[in-house]
Amino acid sequence: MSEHASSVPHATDGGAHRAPDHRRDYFRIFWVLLVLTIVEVAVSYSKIDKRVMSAVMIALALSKASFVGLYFMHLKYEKRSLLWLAFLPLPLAGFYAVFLLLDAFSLLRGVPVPWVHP
Amino acid sequence: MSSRPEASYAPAPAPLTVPTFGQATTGKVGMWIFLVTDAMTFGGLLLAYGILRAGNKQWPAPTTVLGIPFTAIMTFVLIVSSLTMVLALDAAQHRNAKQAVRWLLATASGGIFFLCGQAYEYRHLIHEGFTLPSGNFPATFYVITSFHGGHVFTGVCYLLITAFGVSRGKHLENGANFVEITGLFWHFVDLIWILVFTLVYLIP
Repeated sequence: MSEHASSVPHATDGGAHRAPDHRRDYFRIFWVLLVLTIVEVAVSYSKIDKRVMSAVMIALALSKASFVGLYFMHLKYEKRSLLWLAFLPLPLAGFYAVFLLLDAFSLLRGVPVPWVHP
Repeated sequence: MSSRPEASYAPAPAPLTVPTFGQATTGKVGMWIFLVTDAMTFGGLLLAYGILRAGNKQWPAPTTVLGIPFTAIMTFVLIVSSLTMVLALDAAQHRNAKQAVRWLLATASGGIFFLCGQAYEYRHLIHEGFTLPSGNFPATFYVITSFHGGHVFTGVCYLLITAFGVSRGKHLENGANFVEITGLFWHFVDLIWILVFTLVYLIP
């Protein structure tokens, strides 16, 4: 199908994402997502340390989500400003989440955290 | 945009674009803004789940309660549906309406399969006594997964409406912008499930 890319009549919404090799990219990303999901499920049944396991799984999930956003949702081919629109709020939310979770650990499990138990 | 046709007889006027975001149409930028806000809603739910779980030493390991292999199959189906969605967009961009409709219907079928799987899972869990009011884990589990299920249902309706339009020769103009926006929503549903599957089902 990739050879048809040049036959697209007009592009008003980011012509770059109709690059000839997109179909190949789509299949490649599909296989990556599939393999990472299998790895994740396999890790969930392994006997490794829970903290390590959680960290590995979160890293795998974020990688998979990024692949979907960048390739299937075409952020990789959009102007950088659209990528910022999509991704900038997320680290801010993550920052907020980390502090709330630390507080939750501290208050509910009695783990001292400086700003909770000064 | 100076190149936008002014005459009313233009067959398919190009949609407005937002120069700040390159050639992205207003529809696409609008969808992205919606998705970011929707992501915040999911973020709030997942954060509440995380806080409740972090403060509870008695929280059961999800793998002992939830059926991981079954949910892994549902996850696989959603990933496949994301692939069929981009193939639908590819076909629509090449003005192959027949193929685009086929892929759109395949995508919607994936969503319907997922919803049936979720209904089966709920039925099984409720039968086992894992009901909404029986604790923080089931409460957060049902709220998060059913909120996501609502998105899948919306996505299926959106896909079917898009497929109907494409089958009538619509939505192929302007680089199949309409189909692409439909796809953005569907991929978002897949993206959120990737995170929910990990955080709610897999993390020990």
